Amino acid sequence: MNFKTKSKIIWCKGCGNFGILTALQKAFEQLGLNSNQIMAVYGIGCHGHMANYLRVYNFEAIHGRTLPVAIGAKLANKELKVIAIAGDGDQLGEGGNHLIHASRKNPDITCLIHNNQIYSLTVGQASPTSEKGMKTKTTPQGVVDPQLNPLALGIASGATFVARSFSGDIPHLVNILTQAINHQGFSLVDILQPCVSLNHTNTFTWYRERIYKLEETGYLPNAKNLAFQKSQEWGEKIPTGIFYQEERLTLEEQLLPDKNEILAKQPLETSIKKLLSEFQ
Amino acid sequence: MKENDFNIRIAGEAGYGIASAGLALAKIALRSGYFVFDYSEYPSLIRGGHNIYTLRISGEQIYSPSLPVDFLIALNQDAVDFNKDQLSPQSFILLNSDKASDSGLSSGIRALPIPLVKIALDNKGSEVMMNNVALGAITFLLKAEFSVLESGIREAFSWATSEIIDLNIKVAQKGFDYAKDNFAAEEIKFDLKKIKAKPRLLLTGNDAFGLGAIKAGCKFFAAYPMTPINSLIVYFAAKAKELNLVYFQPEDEIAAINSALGAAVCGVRSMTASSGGGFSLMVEALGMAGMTETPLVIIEGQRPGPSSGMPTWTGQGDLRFVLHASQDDFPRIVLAPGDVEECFWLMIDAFNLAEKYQLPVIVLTDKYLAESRQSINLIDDSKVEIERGKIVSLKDSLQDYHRYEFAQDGVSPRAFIGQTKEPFFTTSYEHNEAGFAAEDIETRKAMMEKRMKKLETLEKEMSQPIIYGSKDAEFGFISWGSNKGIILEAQKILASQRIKTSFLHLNFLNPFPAEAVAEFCQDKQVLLLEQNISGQLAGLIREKTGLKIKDQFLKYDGRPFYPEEIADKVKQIL
Ligand SMILES: Cc1ncc(C[n+]2csc(CCOP(=O)(O)OP(=O)(O)O)c2C)c(N)n1
Ligand code: SF4
Repeated sequence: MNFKTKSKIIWCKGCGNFGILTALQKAFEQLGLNSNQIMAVYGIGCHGHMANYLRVYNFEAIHGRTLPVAIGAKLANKELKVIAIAGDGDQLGEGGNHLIHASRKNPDITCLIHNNQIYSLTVGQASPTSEKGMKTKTTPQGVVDPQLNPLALGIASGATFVARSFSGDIPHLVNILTQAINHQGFSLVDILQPCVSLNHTNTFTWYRERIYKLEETGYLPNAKNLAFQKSQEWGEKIPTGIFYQEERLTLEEQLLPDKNEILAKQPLETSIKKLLSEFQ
Repeated sequence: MKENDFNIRIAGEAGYGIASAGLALAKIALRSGYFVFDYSEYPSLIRGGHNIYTLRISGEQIYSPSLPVDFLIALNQDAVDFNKDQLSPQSFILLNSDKASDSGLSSGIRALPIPLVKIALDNKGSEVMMNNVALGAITFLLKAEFSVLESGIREAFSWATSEIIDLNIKVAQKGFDYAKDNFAAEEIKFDLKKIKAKPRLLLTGNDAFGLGAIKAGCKFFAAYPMTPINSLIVYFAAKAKELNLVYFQPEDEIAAINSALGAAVCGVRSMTASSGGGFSLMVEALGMAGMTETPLVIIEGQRPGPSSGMPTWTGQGDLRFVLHASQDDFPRIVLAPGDVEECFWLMIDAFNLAEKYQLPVIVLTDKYLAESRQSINLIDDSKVEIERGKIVSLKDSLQDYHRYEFAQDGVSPRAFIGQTKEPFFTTSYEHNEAGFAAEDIETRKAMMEKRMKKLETLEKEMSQPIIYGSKDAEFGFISWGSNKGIILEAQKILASQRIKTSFLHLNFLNPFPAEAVAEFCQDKQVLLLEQNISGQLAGLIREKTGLKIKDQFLKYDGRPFYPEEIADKVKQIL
């Protein structure tokens, strides 16, 4: 299956977004999906440009609002694989509230945070994941707030699949993405995505020096407290892999009135005779 | 007291079941063959504030509340003090003698004291059951059948245990008996003896929206609770399971509109609703519906603002806001039903137009229309037609499908995400025909023009505003939305005083029927009425027709107009 469009890619040379695009295309192939079985909903940011490069049903939404659009679509057509493609500013700043509630509601959606620890499209302002002390255009004296931790937030809010990967390690990312997409429920994947033009601190090298793989340490992602603890690790060593996974009924399983039917394919004609008679 | 037309008001402290007693009374009247119209006022509190419920009952079709109050059921002293100015010298008060006295009433007004609390308590009921004691008494006084009240109570308490239901019926019976032993029902000239009538429906605007949306095939409703659209949410949510619908309660209004949009691009007819405050949060996504050409129905229930304003009161201050909300220009339709029946039918139009023209349709209502009940003739839903406009499906060849293909009428064939052979592209950025982001001069101009073209196409098939009353009148009203019924009533009053009037009612505010309005204003003196301080419709008429309407009756105190005050205003002007 061909998941490429003919659009010219305008990301900077060496941008971490390339790795994510490639990994997604491979993951879809490995999962044996057709491009007409997948809907991707994008936020606004450099990450969102992928809407022009990935050949699936693309809906490029507004800044921060990927998840509610994705949830509406999933409820309308539960057979679609729905992927929300967001930035760190997009999903953790503008759209933070939606992340909390999507985690809690557990729709069968995969949310990718292209985490480059900076606002890139708007050319270099601090993001909720910028490290404390980092000098950016909006923080000339250095960031004063502590970093927001998307994994801890996801775990605390009830996400049923929480993982981290790195756009510089495509095999690892493909593996995490296939598992995330296969997971029945809300999967949150924090993807470390170097921005080569605007973030000169958190570079490919910086990440490579620190990253290690949880699955190589015998870590099992089935205990919430432990997962929460693990999620706090950042700095000298940065864990990647699946932090937490559990099974729970999805939003669609609970909210859709008829489990066997696709809402979007229901006939619109309906009789309201009985409803009217209740008002007599 | 007009022979055939009677206003009953129940007033007292919030938390004493005034709304449920009111509904029971309205149902008694409806089922006895009468037309009814009700209206409630309550502060934004659950307990303690002063609540009033007013029910107008008539043997003839009625369109709004009216004054004075002919019969007041006063559950406490505030009820007497706050409402005595709206009584006439011929009015009656059923006075809860346990909590209120009749001192200070102007002469003529007849007080009928009854110990409502004592009767409830003596019969093993609780204080909150005094409303049912009062209902029993009024049933006797209006010469209605107790059995009708009994079935009304059973219905209102269908959630309760049989002991509770029996107890409520018992105290109502005691109220009936007390009235029979102590009062003379003949003194009250109005009665609710059963009359022959066709069956009718008793609906609020919100009920009619719910029914209309369901009939129109709306299957996805996302809304965050806010007065005055809450009863619409409750209705839709209650029916969802049985009718295969989804009510989705989102974390905020931003999620509400975005999720409705997500469902819509997959081919589901979807809707969201809020009041002005919640609509404020929706504004960015409203623009996205415009840009992505996604059909969406948005109900905006107005209440007085700005900001939290007066949450449980009514107003029409959001017309300009919904006409212009969101950055830059894109086509949108703005409708404003005038009454319960229009709420139903315009909801059907809203969904059809949204899909035919692939754009957001905003339906304006307000607290008064949303929550007041009106009896109407049965709705013939077989007249409803569903029109989805240009849709391409899997059957059609979709090799080169372009979501935003240029079309003469501005409307590109629409496909649903998830239901085509090949995927296609949708974006909130300016885009080319294929749905890829594009910023070149030609594409930008052509796409802007394509989108705006849809309104021009629509204008050609738009229905024209209705003019009520005498064609040859030299005096005319212009108004919009929920003032319709009130002005129809004012016309009745004026007609009885030999003052001929005509009335142009606008329920279609964008596109604006400029020609019809200009023509109407040509040969008569016009009074414009609306419920905002700046004359938002007046400004719109000026903008669209160049005409300045000098005589304006603007109300912005949170209360609806009354027909009587409108008639007085006309007489001042003439
Ligand atoms: C409502 C709104 N506010 C602000 C913006 C401007 N804006 C566009 S992208 C962006 C931040 C981008 O950062 P991020 O989400 O991390 O994405 P990246 O560009 O790094 O991929 C901002 C602030 C916008 N488009 N919409
Ligand atoms: S600015 Fe950064 S994130 Fe954006 S394309 Fe360039 S490298 Fe990538």
